[in-house]
Amino acid sequence: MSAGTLASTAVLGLALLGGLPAAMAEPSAAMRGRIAFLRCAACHALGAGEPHKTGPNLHGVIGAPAAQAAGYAYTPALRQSGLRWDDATLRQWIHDPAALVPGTSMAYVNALGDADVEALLVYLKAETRAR
Amino acid sequence: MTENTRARRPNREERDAMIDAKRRQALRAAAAASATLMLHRPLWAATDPDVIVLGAGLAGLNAALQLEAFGLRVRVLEASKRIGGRLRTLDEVQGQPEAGGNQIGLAYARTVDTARRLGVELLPLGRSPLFKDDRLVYVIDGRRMSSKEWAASPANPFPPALRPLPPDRALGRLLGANPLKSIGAWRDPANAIYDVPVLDELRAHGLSPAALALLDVNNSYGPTLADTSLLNLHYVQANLAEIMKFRGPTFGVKGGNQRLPEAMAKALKGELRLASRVTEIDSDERGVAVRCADGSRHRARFVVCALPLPALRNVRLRPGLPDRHAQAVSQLAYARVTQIHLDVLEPFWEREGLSPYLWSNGPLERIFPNDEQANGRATSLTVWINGAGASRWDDLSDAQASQLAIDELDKIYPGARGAVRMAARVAWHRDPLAGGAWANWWPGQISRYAPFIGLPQGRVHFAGEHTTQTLRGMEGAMESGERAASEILGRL
Repeated sequence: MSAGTLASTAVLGLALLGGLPAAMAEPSAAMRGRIAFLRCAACHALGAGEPHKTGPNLHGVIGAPAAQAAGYAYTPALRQSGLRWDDATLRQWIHDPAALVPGTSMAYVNALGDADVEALLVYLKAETRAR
Repeated sequence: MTENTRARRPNREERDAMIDAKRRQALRAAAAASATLMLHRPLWAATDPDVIVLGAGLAGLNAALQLEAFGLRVRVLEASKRIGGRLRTLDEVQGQPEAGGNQIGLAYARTVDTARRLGVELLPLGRSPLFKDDRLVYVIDGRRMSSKEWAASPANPFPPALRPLPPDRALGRLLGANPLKSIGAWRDPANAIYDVPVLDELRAHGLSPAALALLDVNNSYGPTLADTSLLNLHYVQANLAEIMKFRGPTFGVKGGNQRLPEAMAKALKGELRLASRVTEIDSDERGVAVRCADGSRHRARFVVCALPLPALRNVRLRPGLPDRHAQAVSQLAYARVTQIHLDVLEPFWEREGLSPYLWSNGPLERIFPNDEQANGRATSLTVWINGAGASRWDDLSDAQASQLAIDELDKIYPGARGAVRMAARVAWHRDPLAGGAWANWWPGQISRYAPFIGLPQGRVHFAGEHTTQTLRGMEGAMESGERAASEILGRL
């Protein structure tokens, strides 16, 4: 977890402890992205060198061709997809992975609204970047 | 919840009457509740938790842990004196068999990840040599046969490819190619055309009444094939297909699957109260008040209700649920499962070179040996009776059930008497806190209720395997808890 997300957590915690009405505790964009990533975190690690989970580690994935992480057993469907993870493709993928790549093993049904998907993309870019 | 109301589906008039009564009750209750709430303002205080989670099964515990990870204060209320819900390891039976959720596939991402995170070891489940097809025991209409004899028997009504199989493995194969191309497709309105009784489909395949009767013996997805949704069966197959995408074995938790929810409960920062059965949930725009049968009251900003629907039916919600959601709660069916767990004192089946694995259309229905070392030395046997047959055992005392089980076993395996003893008996459909083994979507219920069943109502959010959108069973429960946590976090 980055320092930024730790700080956001503290802010959220304080807002709750202080008993602010929900409307006043509007989370930052980074927090919104982190909350959205809750739906992804069981399958995907983000940090360099962290082991793959049910899904591959996403470090360095942004802009890269699909199915490139070493040591992860991708489905033939994704390996042969020819996709590159640019913003437009990622949006389509998060919206409905099985529609974009029939036969994928990503058992995900999107419940995030457009704004949350955008926040998720921002979060992924920050957290999967080489640093 | 009485046995009678569960045994028979109410007709449309009865359902409408029930719903009308509920609606009137809800309106009266809402009026009363708003009066009550006015007297107890503010509804939640700085010392109250942010979220109350109802139910300490996988769904509730996952919601609680996820909310705590974001700094929220959570209190979990569990009605029973045990953690785990429908994960239940029978520590009192030799070899600690599972009464509830059993196998964990690698596709079960949240379950696997949570176990790893909490240091809970998963062990691959080996394939027991007792499951070798040539040693399985079939008893059809009282006659014992091998799988070869069954395949050749004139009494076998199945098409050639299915003749050697036990009928419980035939149903999935009869469905043919799955029209559901992804794990979420079962909820797609375009697939509602499959939300019809599977009986019609099987008849169209030309299956005889004798074959249909055998398929009905331990159908897990409805009391009869007429009450079984083709769409739900396709969903079950789609779930299996997701699991099969990950090569390798399935897993169980070292020491029993219940150790996972126990570890989750231990990892909670907030309080978990056992023996706290919720009876009332009052909510309005300011917060939620929960009352338990022991008289205790709990206030919070939000509730995650992770109760199975038969348990939720005994909770008064003010305001009441919208019509369609209320109908889902009152109507969704749950699978009936009775298990008799027998400690093995001597491997009686070895005398005749047989397997203790049994498929029958007699009172015992099926036996699954618990061969946890996968070396052929089963330490206990699970007699697994489901569907209509499960109810036959309900009126028996434990002593009578033990006697019936052992008498029947001795008829099939002469000399088995004295080689086993009943160590536990579980009837999920008789447990008022579960109401059945898993949600059974009867024909039409997916189309009618699935879009509504998990929707939050005011400050009350819903979880539990019946609200999953993707994978079923344990992973469905985990997914639902994650979704409910995510919904609440998104509102802050």
